[in-house]
Amino acid sequence: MTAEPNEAAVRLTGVSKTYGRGRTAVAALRDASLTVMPGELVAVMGPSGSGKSTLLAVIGGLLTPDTGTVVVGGVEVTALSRGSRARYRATRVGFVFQSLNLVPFLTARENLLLMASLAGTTRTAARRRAGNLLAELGLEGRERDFPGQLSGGEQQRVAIARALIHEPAVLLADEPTASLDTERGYAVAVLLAREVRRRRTAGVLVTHDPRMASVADRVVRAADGSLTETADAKAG
Amino acid sequence: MMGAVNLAIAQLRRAPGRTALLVLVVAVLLFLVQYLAAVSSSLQELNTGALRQLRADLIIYSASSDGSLDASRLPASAVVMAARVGGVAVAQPLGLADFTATGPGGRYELGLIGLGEDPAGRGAPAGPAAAMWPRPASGSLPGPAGALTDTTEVAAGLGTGRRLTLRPGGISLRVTGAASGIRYDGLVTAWTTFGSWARAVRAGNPAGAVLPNAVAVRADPGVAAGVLAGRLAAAVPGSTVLTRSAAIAGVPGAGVLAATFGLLIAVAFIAAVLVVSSVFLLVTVQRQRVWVLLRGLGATAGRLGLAVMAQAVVVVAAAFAAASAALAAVAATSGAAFPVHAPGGLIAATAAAALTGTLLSCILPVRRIGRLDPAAALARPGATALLPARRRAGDRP
Amino acid sequence: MMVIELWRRPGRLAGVTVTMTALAALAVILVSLSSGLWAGATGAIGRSSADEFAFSRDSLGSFARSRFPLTELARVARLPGVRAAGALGTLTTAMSLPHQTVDVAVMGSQFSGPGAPPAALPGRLPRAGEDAAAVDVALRADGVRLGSWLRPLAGGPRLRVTGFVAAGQFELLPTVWTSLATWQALSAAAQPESSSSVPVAQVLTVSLTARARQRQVQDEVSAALGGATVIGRDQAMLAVPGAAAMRTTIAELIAAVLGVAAAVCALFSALQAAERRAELARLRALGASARRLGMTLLAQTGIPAILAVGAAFLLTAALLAAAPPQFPAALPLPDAAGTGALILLAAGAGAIVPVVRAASVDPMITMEEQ
Repeated sequence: MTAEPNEAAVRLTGVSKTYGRGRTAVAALRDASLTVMPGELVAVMGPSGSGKSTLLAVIGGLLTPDTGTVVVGGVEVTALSRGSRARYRATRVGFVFQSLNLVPFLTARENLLLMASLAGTTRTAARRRAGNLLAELGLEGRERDFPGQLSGGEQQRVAIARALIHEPAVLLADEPTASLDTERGYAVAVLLAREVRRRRTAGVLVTHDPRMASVADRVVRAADGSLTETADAKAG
Repeated sequence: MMGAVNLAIAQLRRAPGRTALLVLVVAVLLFLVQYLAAVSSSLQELNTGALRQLRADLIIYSASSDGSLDASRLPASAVVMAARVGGVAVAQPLGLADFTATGPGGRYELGLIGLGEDPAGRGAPAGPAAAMWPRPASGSLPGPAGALTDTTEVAAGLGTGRRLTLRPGGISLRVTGAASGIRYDGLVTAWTTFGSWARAVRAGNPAGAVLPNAVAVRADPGVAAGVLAGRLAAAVPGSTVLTRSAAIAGVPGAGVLAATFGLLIAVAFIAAVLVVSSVFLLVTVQRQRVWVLLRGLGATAGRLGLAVMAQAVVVVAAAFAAASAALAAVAATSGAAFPVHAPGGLIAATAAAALTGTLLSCILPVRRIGRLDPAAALARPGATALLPARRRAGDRP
Repeated sequence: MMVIELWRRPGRLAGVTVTMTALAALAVILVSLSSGLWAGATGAIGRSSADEFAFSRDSLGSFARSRFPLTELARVARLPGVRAAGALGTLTTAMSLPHQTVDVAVMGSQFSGPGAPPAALPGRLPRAGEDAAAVDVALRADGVRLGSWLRPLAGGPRLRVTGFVAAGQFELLPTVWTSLATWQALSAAAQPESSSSVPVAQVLTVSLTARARQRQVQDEVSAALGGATVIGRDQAMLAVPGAAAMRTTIAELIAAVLGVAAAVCALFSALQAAERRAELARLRALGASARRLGMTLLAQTGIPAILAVGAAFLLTAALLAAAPPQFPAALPLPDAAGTGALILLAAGAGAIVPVVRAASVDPMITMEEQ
């Protein structure tokens, strides 16, 4: 069920999502369409309440849209049952959240192994990949540290490593640099873009910071639930 | 591999202080349940041990006694009448009286049980005459003027060779051996031959008439106790015949005691389940951010529920071990006056109850995890989406 | 503020309260059982008008093994400090009524002097030479009425009920008050080995003159009776078979339950405080004093504990109402109040350390978390 090289890794077609009913109804996404190719990083920018996080939630199988289809890595997410969506998230999606990113009582390495376990990766492969990923992301020697012992930038690097350990079809990053200072945030964004391209994983980066968005291949602007392609961003 | 159990253990190990407190509270509760059960079992044994260790199939009481050994008196002829009934292997008189005993350790209240006529000479009962006696753990069965004491009394100085003087009357008995669990009515108890017992009772009040309280009967092999009971009741006028287990249940206060402790154990057990449940619910709420994250990453509610259950089982198992060790320590240090026993059966029963209780107590926390919305993982810090979320169409991430 | 939070998160309040209720109910049931058993075992002695009880030398203070010829009574009555002397005999036995059999405690009394039952209302106390009984009011529930006949199963004289007395129970059995002579006849039938050709009683009872010194009178009575054990009413209650052991065992269990309640409160407080560490730090940073935070946290433990104590009393009252009459439990007001106070004290004691620690949280945590 892997996508063909020229096939889009993520394809949203006519997706709408409304919260609430009647007079209190708020349209978070209106007829939104988006395509992300393997190895491509798309930045989604927009003010609060513009539908950015809803977009991530829909791609990640956390929310079911009211209309439209979402296909990720050849899997039609919108057709999955609730139980299958959990399996889908564990195997095909890599998440980097803004906060609550790491399990505080597990070490950096254990956080990676937990994700591999959820994805059903074998023990040997998981250990090998965890070691390699942490080394590649500059976390050698910090494997046994707990999240509380790591800096904010290091924690986000561990989160990126965790998002990649099961070789997902798509990596979804929700304001991953919001809690970091500008320099560290930018370094994390560059790292994210590098890994997406190197591993041929599709990436969607939600941010409100133009500097962070500049690392993406394309920038999509979200406003009142609609998505508008702005311009090709420069690779970072 | 980071499975549910590993996740549970990692969480417990990361917060050793809190884990220790959890284990301590659960251990104290389990100890309370075990202690209540042990006290109940010990009281039953102290009150009824003599009847449990008496190796009789049936006991004949007077009809007016209402099944109480203390209240029963039979004519001496009842023994002969019972012995003649077909299917009876042995019938022996059984006597019970309280004395003040003077011996090693000072003066104390003593229950004296007399069983079986004196053997010829001064030897111990042997052959069929010994068939109904408790098996001595040390020493030998008593002959005339001899006494068999409970093994718990040996540590208090009532070992083989020691003498007891009974008041009133001044009769003296020499301890010949000890057997386990032979106390009656919670008193220090000595067993002697019925002849010696009768002499002690008569010495205490020469004006009184000495009668056996009951007749203990052993059936011939292959004879059903129920059938024999009917024959004996017909052969001994004014009697009621009970099996040994019915006689044990009929000991005054035994039923009330069992019911009362049963109630206390049930309430303590319910309290333990509620405490464990509340504690793990609180821990689940406290760790809700983690569970939401894991749900967002693709962990199923079942897997996380399993982790909570694994955590509860680990905590309860550790607490159970601690509680059992504490109970063993209490049992080892309990005095002869009120020995507390912790038999394997009791430990196994409380272990099974603890496991059942643990699984019951996980219902609420597991339900809570099942209700978490994985979309809350996208929430901003402090957002209300982290609060328990029922899946509603209108909820925003 | 945190009290408001407690109300707005009713699930948590209910969880803690239900748990505390179970523990409190366990403690209250134990106390009611202790009170009921104590009253049932020793009530007749506790309500006795006698100040002192004399047990024969070798009886070790046991009613069953103690015995005095009644001729000793006159000698005791003449001793200085003794206002009056009486005698008492006890026997637990079964009596048959027209439709059922009841276990009773027969109390042999002289019906005058210390140790006699209170006046019979309604009816009267038995007269000298009459095989009759004044019985405890509890026997009305078994269908006993004035003029009913009680037939002892072990033999001996039948007893006609001449009155009802509120004299309490003995060895958890309703009391049946007869003359000493009748008691002796019933004892001889039930326990032939104890029969005697001369009038006897088990214990001699003494009431003291106003100026008597208790210790001195005890010594003189003991000497006059050849080394008898002479003890006050409270100690005589402990001499009732099984009473002392029962009281100690239940007291230990109550202590264990209170210990558990304290530990549970400590755990809940510690967990709640840990959960709110950041919130508490923010409040401290905003200027709330540690004392103020401590008091509100303590209130959060106290409110469920108070609710739990109330619920536990209601539960126990329902249980006592539903329990069969022979279930030996009672909850007099002083015992209930004492138990409630002890549970709240245990809850407070358990919560105090976590609360103090939580209230003194470093407000700098707020800054670190930014």
